[in-house]
Amino acid sequence: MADLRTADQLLELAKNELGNMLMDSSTAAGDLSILVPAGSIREVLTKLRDADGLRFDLMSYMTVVDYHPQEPRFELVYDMYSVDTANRIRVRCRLADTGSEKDLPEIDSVADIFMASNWHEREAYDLYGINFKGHPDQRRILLPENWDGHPLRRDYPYDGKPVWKLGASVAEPEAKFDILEN
Amino acid sequence: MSMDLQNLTIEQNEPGKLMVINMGPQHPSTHGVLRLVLELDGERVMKCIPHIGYLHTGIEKLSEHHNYTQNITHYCRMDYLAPMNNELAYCLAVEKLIGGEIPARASYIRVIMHEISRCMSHLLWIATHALDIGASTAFMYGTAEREKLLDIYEFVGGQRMMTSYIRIGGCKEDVPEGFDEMVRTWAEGFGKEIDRLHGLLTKNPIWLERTKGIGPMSRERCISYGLMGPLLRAVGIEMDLRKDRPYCRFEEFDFDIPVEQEGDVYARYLVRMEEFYQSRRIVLQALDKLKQTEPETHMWELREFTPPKRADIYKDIERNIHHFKYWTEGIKPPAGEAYASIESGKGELGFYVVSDGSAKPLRVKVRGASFVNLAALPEMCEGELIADVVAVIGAIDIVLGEVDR
Repeated sequence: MADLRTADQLLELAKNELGNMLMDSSTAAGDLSILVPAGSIREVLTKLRDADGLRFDLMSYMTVVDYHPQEPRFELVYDMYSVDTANRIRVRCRLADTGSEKDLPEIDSVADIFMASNWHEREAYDLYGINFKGHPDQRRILLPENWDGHPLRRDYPYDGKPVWKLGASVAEPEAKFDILEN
Repeated sequence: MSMDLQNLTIEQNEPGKLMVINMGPQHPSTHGVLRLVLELDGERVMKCIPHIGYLHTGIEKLSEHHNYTQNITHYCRMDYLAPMNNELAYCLAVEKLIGGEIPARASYIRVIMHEISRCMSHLLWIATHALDIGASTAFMYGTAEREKLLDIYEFVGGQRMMTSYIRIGGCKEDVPEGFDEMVRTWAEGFGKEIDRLHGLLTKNPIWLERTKGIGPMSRERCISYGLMGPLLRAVGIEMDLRKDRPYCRFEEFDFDIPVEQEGDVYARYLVRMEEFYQSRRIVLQALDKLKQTEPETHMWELREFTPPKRADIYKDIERNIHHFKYWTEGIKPPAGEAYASIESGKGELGFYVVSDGSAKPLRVKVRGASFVNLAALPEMCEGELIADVVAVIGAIDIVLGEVDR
């Protein structure tokens, strides 16, 4: 049953568990969010899941916020929920932009720890261009595979890019859209 | 060739070998534009790969370019089977960002519309779920009953869908005269309608054959997949955001959380069927509470974040200015972030809103229940027969508008 704790109590428990991996914390509208290093995200989420008193075992969602033109521009947000106690915590980490399409910003995937993050990470890759190391099946999820760019980045134009690679020739014989091809 | 098809071993037209078939996006039983690539061994599904995105409309990108009030109209279009749920979740998130108390009357109206939306969502679920499995009578009763709820929607919000009735700070209007009577009339007959659906299906041997033991998930896997709502309650976890993290004064209401243990399609069916009765209970309680509140207190007191009343606009210049400011510039919540979620018919529906202090949000993330729940589809239908895939999709209860956003 629900055993709601205040943000301060949660922070105390998280501090004990994470030690110096907890870089910063803030409370917004009663919800606690903590900042951790991007390199230790797997360790942090596993510890938060297994620690007594915390048990954040369900990943509610995972998303990215783009603070362009600030640097580091990407902030990854993992919202963890505890089924036993109904508490919530937001775990965030920051990633800098690499500036190139071939070499996207990288972070470890947690898809093998939390199955829920599989699709969320694919969405983040699709719309923000974040590379998840070790993701079992990282490909675009909402957009076609030959889409150009990552539309939720804040420097991606609101009305789209002028040329869409598929063009208007989808119905022509040499077009790429074949049921077994895609 | 795309990656997922490369991974499949396609050797067609040979007996005993696996066959790849494509299901959807125009298949009537995929509830919209869901496409599945299935690898079959005879009739048995060996591998299932869902493809989504056919209904992607870029709502999250649009949200960053429209102001907070305009955005409400985008979200009604996500889960179009229960539009007010989306509006409610978004408004709760923005209200959390601003801070401020919602008057009791507005909360009770929201509770009534929230529960009616749940019934609308569930009625269409039972109608199409039964139709997919082959029971077309339930479809008729389900949609006929849903029509009454759409009438209430129209009576309150002016439209059957896309009402934009729930606004930041309360509701657009107070409920019209005769609302109480209309909802009560519906609620009185509703129990019998659900009894009739129970009579058609619950002990029906064909229904049992098609749903019992189909698509089971264990407790641990459900949690790992992040499933919430009826799917989680069907594996014996008593979890409901209305009880665990109450919003809209749900702590004042008396209702039960239906829980089943088996975790198969039949258990999910039983959970949702019981939720009809619980919703009806909540609606009746809310109607009584609504009577005790002051009429016309459907908006909060924060003047800056409330449009002036129509009649007041012409009374003095300040309110006239405020009217134009509100509708052209929009409201400016303080910089910060907030996440609010509700227990929608399909699971947890949440909005994560980040504000930079301007009139447009910096980021709105929609945590759609359908998106998360659909990710577990391969796990549920691998190893089952191809005919059971439609039963499993029906039991997950997806709406593609919310999956693709």
